Amino acid sequence: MKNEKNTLRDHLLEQDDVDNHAYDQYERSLRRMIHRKMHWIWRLLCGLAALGGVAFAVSLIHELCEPMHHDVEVFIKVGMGSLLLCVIFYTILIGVSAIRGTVRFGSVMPVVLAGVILSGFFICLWTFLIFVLPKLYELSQSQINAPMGPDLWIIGMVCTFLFIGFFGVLTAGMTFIIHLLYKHYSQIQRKLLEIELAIADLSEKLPPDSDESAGVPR
Amino acid sequence: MSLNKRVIQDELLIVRCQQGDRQALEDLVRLYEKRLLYYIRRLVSNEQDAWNILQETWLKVLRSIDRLKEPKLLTVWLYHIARNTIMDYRRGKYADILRFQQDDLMPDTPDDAASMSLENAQFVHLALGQLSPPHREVLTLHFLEELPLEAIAAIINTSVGTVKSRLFYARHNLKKQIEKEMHNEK
Repeated sequence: MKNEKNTLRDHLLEQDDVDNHAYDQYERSLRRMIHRKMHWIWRLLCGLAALGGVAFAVSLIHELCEPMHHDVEVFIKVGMGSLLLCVIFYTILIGVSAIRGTVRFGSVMPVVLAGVILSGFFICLWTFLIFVLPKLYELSQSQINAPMGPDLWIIGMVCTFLFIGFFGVLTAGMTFIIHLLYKHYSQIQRKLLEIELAIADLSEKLPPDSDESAGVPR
Repeated sequence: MSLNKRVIQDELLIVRCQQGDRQALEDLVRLYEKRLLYYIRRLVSNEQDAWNILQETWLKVLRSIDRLKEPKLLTVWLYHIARNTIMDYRRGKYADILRFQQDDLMPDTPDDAASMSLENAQFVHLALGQLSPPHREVLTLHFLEELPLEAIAAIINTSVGTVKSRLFYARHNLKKQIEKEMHNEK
């Protein structure tokens, strides 16, 4: 077996002189990269964003508890409830990052993608429910005598909202499912490789003529 | 350690990295940093620049490790990233020199990496510094990783014929340089 410490490569690698200061600098940067350590400015910004999230969540809870006496109250409250869940989730995520000073490594992209899609969807939903829908409802009520007036506005808008919402949730759901499938696949792959490695280890430890000594025909 | 075991270990390391295992990332860095630094320093004379390039290489690796579909090609992938980083860093300087082409096919020669005696490592190291950058690059890859011609060609973005030819001339020049170094030593 080739001795790993005795190759030309190992001897060559020892030939270069290393500047300790440059190495220390490199080591510090590398550690920051691997552990995804955040700069204090980013921590501060995340902390502020988390505080903003807490304030928003409190105001949403307050709004949810207030009676509205409105015909579309159910739609508004369901939308607000969903928005509240989204706000709580991201506030916790960003708050934990600010406190720990690290960004969670792995699976970042699917989470960010799903987060962006869901946030966009919930912001649109919130704007629609708070500002657009009540106004449209009032308009439709004032034009009650117009042909198909009230029902057309409401049904049309609610259908559009449901359509957008459906695709938003579908995309986020698909992203999440792809993420789960990938995670499952990579776990299986890891197990298989661990088994392969154990077999390779065993076959290295066996003496070359062990088959013959055990009476196994070649 | 057998080649097969090394390949399995590399694959396992990549799968662990892709799962977000920080320890695996550290292991990957420790396993390859010396070799990558040696390669970079053969192409970049300033040590501080070499450390910066190595750091930039790791940043690119960490960003794109999720997209590595063939963990078996880890070594080629790492050197390819390192080389691209060097090219970005020294655009206009090394890029022109390394684009040097010698496409004549040369006959097969015995493997020098195996025949070089370990006591000669210092002479090899000194002689490498006297070669032209394209020759230095292929020989460094050859000595560090003992990669097949196809893999070296993939790293330096050229044909197998060119790599074969460069290796032939590089070995020839290296031998001459080593003899010169030894003669000077005496």
